[in-house]
Amino acid sequence: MTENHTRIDELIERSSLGTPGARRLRHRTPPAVAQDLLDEPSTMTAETREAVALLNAAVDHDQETAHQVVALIRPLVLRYCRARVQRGDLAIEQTDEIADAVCAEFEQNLITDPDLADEPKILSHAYRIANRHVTAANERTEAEVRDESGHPLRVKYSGALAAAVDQLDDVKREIIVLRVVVGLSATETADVLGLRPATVRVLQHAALRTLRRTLDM
Amino acid sequence: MGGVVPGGETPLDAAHEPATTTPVSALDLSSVEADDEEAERPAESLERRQADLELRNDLALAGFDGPEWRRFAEELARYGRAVMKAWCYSGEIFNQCRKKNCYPGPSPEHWTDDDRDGLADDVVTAAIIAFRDRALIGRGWDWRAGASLKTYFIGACVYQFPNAFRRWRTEDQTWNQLRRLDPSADELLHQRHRDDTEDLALIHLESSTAFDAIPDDRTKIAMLLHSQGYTYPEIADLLDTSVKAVDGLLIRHRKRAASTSWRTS
Repeated sequence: MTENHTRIDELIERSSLGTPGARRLRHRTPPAVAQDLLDEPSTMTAETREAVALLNAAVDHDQETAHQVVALIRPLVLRYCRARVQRGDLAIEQTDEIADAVCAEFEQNLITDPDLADEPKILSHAYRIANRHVTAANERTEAEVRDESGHPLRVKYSGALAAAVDQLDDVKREIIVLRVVVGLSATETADVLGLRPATVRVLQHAALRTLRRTLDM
Repeated sequence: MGGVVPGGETPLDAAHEPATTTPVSALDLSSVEADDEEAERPAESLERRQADLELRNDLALAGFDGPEWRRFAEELARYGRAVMKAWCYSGEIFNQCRKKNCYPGPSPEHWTDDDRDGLADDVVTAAIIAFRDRALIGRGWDWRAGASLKTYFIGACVYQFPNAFRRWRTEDQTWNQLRRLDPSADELLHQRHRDDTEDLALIHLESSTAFDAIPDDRTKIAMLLHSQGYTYPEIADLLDTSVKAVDGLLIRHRKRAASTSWRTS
């Protein structure tokens, strides 16, 4: 422990946080829980922050502005599609085509709907479009792949981790994909899925526990 | 502690500024029952607030950043989370919001430990940032005004509560809709709506006749917290009063309960 650290500790105990009641109340929260609260990541990823700044700075949401915004968001969409599309016989290029279709629709909407110029709306809107396209693609793939007796065969992801993620229930799976693969913060994920950040954290912990168990980690 | 704060900020100096010796808490103390011990509190409170100022100045020298800030913020989070959980449990948070004109609507009929934990986490995470920026860096907190650092911080938490609560309420409604639409959501819903021990204790206590007979909210809250294992110093801190006053509240309640029981038997 550094000298400064010791001094801060000593000052804390002399301060209003050091009364007997306050001290006991502090001890009700384990230090690790408090540290988790302080480690809450930035509420906005760099891509979203830049996209929102662009939209706010633009006088009109013209084709050029929309194009620039989509260029910023595209990596997030691409990561989401690659993580969620059950590829089966699809090549990775075809997955990327789904991401392109999502981006094209999103770009068009940016031009026609000026209300999309804030962070939660941008992400939620892009997410809804991507989720719809991915679900449709997965349904098509499942319909095409059949077992010997002609019944639809559920296409499994390749790789143990992807297969384990596929076993999670819908909400947990989306949280893991958005947080881990797409890289959204807990707050952004919460906005996108209509949950509270605290719920995202709780479900994320539960999902990770399940994954660890499934993968015998 | 002297010196110049990075960014040209000069530390505030308790030794050279006239102190207000009578603390005026940010919380409304008008309903606190009279108690001899109250007379002894201003001196201690003044000392604590002077240490608060010293602490604030040390943090300013570190630019409200780095390991010093982190250490302080950690203790602030531990304290704030415990207070918010206790206030959510006892319903006091809604009284506090009403006093600050930010009442978010009535307390929910049913919420779980997880709900209260999540709300406390959201509130404290947002309040720490607001507190640092406005109270400490922006100098919204003035040690002479009477409120201690911890009281000021809890005030910041109260102001953050309505947003977090509304968000929780919206989500709760969404969960209920999901439950109606999709039975497979039950597993998740089950996690949120399980009966927890604190709720059962609360239901048990609230259904008792003696509890209904308690004439004032402060005694009810003290009773609730006491039934949950909070110590007298903790309850005193949570109600911003003295240990002796808490003792008085609970003794008077027991006498009233015994007298009622004797009369009705």
